[in-house]
Amino acid sequence: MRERLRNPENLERLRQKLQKERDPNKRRITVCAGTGCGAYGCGEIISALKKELKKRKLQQDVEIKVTGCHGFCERGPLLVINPQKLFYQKVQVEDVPEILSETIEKGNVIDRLLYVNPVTGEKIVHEDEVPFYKLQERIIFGSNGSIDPTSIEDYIAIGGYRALAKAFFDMSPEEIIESVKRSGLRGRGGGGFPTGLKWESCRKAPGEPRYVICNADEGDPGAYMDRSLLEGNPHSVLEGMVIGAYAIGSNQGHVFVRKEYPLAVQNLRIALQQAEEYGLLGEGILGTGFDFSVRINRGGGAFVCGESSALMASLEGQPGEPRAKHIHTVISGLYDKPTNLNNVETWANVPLIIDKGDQWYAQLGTEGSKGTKIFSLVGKVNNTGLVEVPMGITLREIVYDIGGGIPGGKKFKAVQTGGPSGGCIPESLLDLPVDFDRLTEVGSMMGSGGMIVMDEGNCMVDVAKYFINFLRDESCGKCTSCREGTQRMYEILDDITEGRGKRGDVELLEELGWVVAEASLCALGGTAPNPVLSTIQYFRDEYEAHIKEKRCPAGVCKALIQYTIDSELCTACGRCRKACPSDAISGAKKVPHKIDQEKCIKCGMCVESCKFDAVKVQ
Amino acid sequence: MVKLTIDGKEITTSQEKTILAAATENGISIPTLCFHRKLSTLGSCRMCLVEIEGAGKPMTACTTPVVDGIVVHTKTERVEKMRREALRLMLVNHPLDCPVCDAGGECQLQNLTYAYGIEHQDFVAEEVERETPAFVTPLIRQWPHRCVMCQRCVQACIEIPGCHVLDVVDRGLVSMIAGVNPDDCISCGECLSVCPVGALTEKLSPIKGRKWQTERIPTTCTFCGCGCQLELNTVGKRTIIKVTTDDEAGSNRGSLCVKGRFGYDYVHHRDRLTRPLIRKNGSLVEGDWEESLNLAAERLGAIRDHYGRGSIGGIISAHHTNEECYLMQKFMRAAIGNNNVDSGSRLTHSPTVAGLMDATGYGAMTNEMDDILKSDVILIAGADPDVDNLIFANKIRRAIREKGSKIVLIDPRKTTLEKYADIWLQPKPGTDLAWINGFIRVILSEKLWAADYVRGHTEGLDELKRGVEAFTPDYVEKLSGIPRGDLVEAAQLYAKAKASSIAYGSGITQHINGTDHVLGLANLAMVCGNVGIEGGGIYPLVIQSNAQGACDMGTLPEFLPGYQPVSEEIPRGKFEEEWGVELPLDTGLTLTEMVEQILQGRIKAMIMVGENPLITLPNPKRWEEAINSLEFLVVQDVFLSEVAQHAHVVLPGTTFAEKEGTFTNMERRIQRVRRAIQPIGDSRPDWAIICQLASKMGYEMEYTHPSEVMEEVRRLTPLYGGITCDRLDGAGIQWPCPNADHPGTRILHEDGFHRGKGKLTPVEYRAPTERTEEGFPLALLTGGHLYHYHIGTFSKRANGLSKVYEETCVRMNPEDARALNISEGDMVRVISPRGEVKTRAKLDQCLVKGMVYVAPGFRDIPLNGLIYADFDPVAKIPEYKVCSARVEKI
Repeated sequence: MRERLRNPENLERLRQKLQKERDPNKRRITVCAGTGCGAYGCGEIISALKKELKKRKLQQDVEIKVTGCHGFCERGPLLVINPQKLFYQKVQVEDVPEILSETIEKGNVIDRLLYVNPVTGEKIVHEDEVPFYKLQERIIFGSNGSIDPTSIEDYIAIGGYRALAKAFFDMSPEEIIESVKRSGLRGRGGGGFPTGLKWESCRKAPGEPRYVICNADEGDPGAYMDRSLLEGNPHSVLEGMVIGAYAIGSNQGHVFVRKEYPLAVQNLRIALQQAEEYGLLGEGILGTGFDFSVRINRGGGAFVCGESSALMASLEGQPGEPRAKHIHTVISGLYDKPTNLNNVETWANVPLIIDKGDQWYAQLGTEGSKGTKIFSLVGKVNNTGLVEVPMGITLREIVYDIGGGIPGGKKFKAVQTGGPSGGCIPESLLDLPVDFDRLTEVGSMMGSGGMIVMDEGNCMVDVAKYFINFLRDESCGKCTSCREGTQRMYEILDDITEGRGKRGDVELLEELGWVVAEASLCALGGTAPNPVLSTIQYFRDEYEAHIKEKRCPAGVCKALIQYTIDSELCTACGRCRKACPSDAISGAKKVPHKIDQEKCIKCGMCVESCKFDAVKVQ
Repeated sequence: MVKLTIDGKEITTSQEKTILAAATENGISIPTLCFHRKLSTLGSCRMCLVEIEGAGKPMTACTTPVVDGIVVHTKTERVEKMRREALRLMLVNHPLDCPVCDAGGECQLQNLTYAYGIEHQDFVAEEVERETPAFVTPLIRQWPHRCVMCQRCVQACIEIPGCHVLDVVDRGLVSMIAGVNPDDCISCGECLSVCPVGALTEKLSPIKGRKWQTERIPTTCTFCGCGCQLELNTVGKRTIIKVTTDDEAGSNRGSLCVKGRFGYDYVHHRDRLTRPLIRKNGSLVEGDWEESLNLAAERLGAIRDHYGRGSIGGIISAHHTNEECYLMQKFMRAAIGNNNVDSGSRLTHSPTVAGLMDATGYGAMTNEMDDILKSDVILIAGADPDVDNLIFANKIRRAIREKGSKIVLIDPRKTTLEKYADIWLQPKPGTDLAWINGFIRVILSEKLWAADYVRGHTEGLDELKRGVEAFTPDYVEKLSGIPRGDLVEAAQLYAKAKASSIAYGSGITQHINGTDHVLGLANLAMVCGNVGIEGGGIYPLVIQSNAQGACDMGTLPEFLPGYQPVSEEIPRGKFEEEWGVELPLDTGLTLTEMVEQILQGRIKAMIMVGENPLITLPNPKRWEEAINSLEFLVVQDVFLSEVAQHAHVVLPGTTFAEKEGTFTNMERRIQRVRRAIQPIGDSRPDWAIICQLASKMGYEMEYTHPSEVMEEVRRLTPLYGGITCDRLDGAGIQWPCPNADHPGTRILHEDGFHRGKGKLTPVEYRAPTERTEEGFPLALLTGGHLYHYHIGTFSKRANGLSKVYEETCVRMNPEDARALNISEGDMVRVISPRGEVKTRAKLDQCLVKGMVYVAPGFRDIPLNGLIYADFDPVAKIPEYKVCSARVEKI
């Protein structure tokens, strides 16, 4: 049973007690149970660990801590063994007995579970030496690796809710807002609007009650930083919301979270309950007269509901369609009342700003974009995962130093930032410092922090088609330009990739892109043409090749490529013939093989099966 | 006020305006498609994008409010290009089936395409496959492929009738408007009236005539007291093919109910009487006009001369025109020579006329309907406007939405308005005076009354105080069953608001103490200072289209036109001079009193114009006996009604579509009825028939057009002193309008009460005559029917309405039904101490235990045979609303 905390002193006493109970030298195995590692099967590893500990009667001596996402998803399942901070990666269930007998009981390092730096070939023993981690600035995300998200005590022990106490007892609401303004924090959901200003407008807006909303409707494919925060450290988000609510003068909060995130909902629900038990949420928070409660609302999976006005419509039970926002939602939002909406990551920044001070925070980042940003680094890059970096870091540093470069020795082509409606940034701009304004300048955007790396094997027309297909499917259909325009853009791109492209298509795409971007009601339509327009801008020659020469330079668009076998190189081993699912390859022993173009379905199995590089794509 | 510049023009306007509104009022046109003046804006079509200097992106003019100093450009190359692109994109999937589309010629997409000269677009798209079926009702058809997704229909359905039948399903390209709650559709047709293209059309009129082939005759609806303005679309001056509306016209502003929009074709029903009928050898046979009129004139004249002037009675319906009502009473008074003239208004509206006239000086709705939009609190008692007066109910919804008005609903039954009510009080039937007096007592004892107003403008406070003293919340609870706390809360809510209004309906008037109820409500309104102010007022809701006008025109046994008493010499003298006869002094008989007089042999002949007492009145057997005992009966009607079947002469009149005249709606607004088509067959307008009959009887009535009748009314009736036909074009005029320069009166008693001081009258509580008694444990309630008007004479013959009309049924609480072993749809007998009817049972949670409800059954279910035949001593209205009954499974 948790005893209600009635003042800041209670909270501090609890924190000291918790810290005292926690022996930093205790042997502890930290298991990442985030989205990626979960998919790799960390659940079985956790059960195996528990079983083995019991078998060896080590339950009392060795603690297993199941945490949220550590970020290095590429190498999961991940284990960190403390206090040594040994870093084991790609751990399998079969490794568990050995880990206990060798590492825990004897203190030996198991060589094969160590991470090998792909650049230098050197083996790395400790977590903090891994370049993927070493080069990040993990102020928001760092605690994920050390706390159990279902334990508020873990969070309090590392300083949690200290910012809340400070905000409530040492600062006035106006001072909090001023502090957030000075920190330079901008909305992490993509818009990049100054958070402090938003709070101030909402506080000053007439009308009662006021609402605060946490936007956890993370819909960008491949982006999961908000999910990982909610799953791995829900209290940091909650603490931010309580501080924000106090500053704004709101007693009711909502977390709008995708229904596809059951663990996030579960952990958040536990967090709400625990915070309420301690009196850190609900009525009379920390003995003050301030009440604030939070409801969890689950979204139905529409991408557009991440847009603030559509989200609010959905919360009200209306169809999730954006509304004209000539009156900002801070003045007339949920139920036409003043409403402050921030994204998960934005809220998680708040306790840090209050606790460590806005001056400290403002030192991080660039002139116009302060603090750090979490990116989900995916695609053709060696180290995929969630990375938190200071604003202003260059794309090159992210892709090569943290990401470890392009696998398979292939050539970098572009990086797409900002989710599906971001733009593709070419190699010539790799030294671009990443912040809100610079990304927009080059035709892309920060968005919620998606980052997809592409190499020479990606066709940029195909990429544009892929994203516009996602967006036209997710367009709510309310406004003409987005509903009809994205569909038409998709159809043109489809024609081009299918070899039906005609002169004038690129110009038509540009014209349509202009209308969709300029005339659409909300940001979905406003940014939807980005992937098309930016690929036309930087990779126009690829479009021309598709249309004029009926050729896909990257060898991706099936209608435009042909597989042939180089008879000089073919050894007639027969591998490709066996691999071909459509019996398109013929040839006998010692006779170079041939591909029947009529039968070929362009699946590429022959290329993969050939050991002599004899299958060519044209 | 803010100043802005649009297209170089400096404009000053108020700050709540949008750019679109500011531009429109200054003659600058901006193309729109999804925008509709009466709906909240969506900004979905992107046609009205304009550029604002300094703003990055173009903004939609329909949603962007004006800001001081902004410079707006509405026709730059950039926005025109966007509009053209948006149109081209809309046309990709819009089938160009314009030749067979009902909207052809008045389609906004067609017009915009024309205006922008779009000859082609670059895209070839495959037809969109949608899984959701199109929305179809018996009256409305959706064409999803024509839809431009403006969502006007969705907004209209939610905001105006409050139904939410339609909404968007799916998203993106395949998104479409679908019937999400199809069972809630009340077929008002609001959706199709706002559709800018032909994506929602009505099913009664396809391929009957294009816009340019039809004539649109603006006229006044005849289906309730709202007096909605509509347009009869006619072909060749002979056939009505559909009803449309003008969004700017009338108090309804383009909205209608199912009756108004789809109920028109009874006009062409094969049952229409096209030739006069004469009883020969016991049966009615066709005759010619000359013969019929001669016979009627001769017989009436003979009876008058033989039995005396008082031996004839005349009744006219409450849906005949003012001119016809005027001529009817003139005929009775001048040609026959008695005051035995009454109208159908007796059965619904008479307690209002009597009660409000007594209390305030005018027996009518005090404020105009639109003024309800200014009410802070609206008290709705014994009325179901969603069924009887939809347009008024729509206004209540608008008041809730736009002003945040609070609703106090008082009704034994859970009506559809209950979902909007802040408090719902549920009195036992017939106990209304208990809560009315209870309200006043709470207000007086808590000092919530308007002391200055009451002292300055009213009289009788002390008597009233004594009169309500006994009505403590406890006592009221005992009488009415309303929990005392709820009563106090509701009274406080009503009294504390700045302006509160009262709307009531037949649940208040159709009682033996109907007049007392009205007096009580007048007391309540006056005690709180709510009469004569904006947002306040008393709103008697009127079911019949000209119930007010019939009374105004003097089809009342005690009043000459304009409520000038027959007993007073001065007005009578004026009429005698104009009419050239001596007028009778004695008050005549009311409709409800006539039956006994006939049976006692004092009345020997009747003239009935459009009325049908065998159906409308309680105790139909006694009426039948009376009718059969008449020596002579003349009936004027458009169909061979039950009473017409007993007539000696039946004269075929016309419907509202075939004649000129005026109706006075429930807000006292006199509006024109225009002839849209030629009379059907050999029928004649009733005004003409009355004139011809009078002339044949030796009293010349020479009018060539009803406007000449109104001219005579104007001369004789100060209330209508400024009414001339040409002044009525447009919005009509609300009486009193004493002279040609007077603009009419929106709100009565603004400069003090018409009668001098408002009269506070203590009203005694009387228990309803009939209590639930042994063997009859249920309370039978009756009410209106959404799909029918009055007794169904017209609406039952409207092809459109018959498609959606639900068969008559008795609604009962499921628990009551279970106890009687009755299931949904079972045939049952509803039995009262006076009779029984057979119908089907429908289980309805909205009815509390112990209550059953039957919407009027008309000919198939003569419900009035069950009703107790007692009536109000003042207004002589029967007690339709309290009846004990039991239900048995057959």
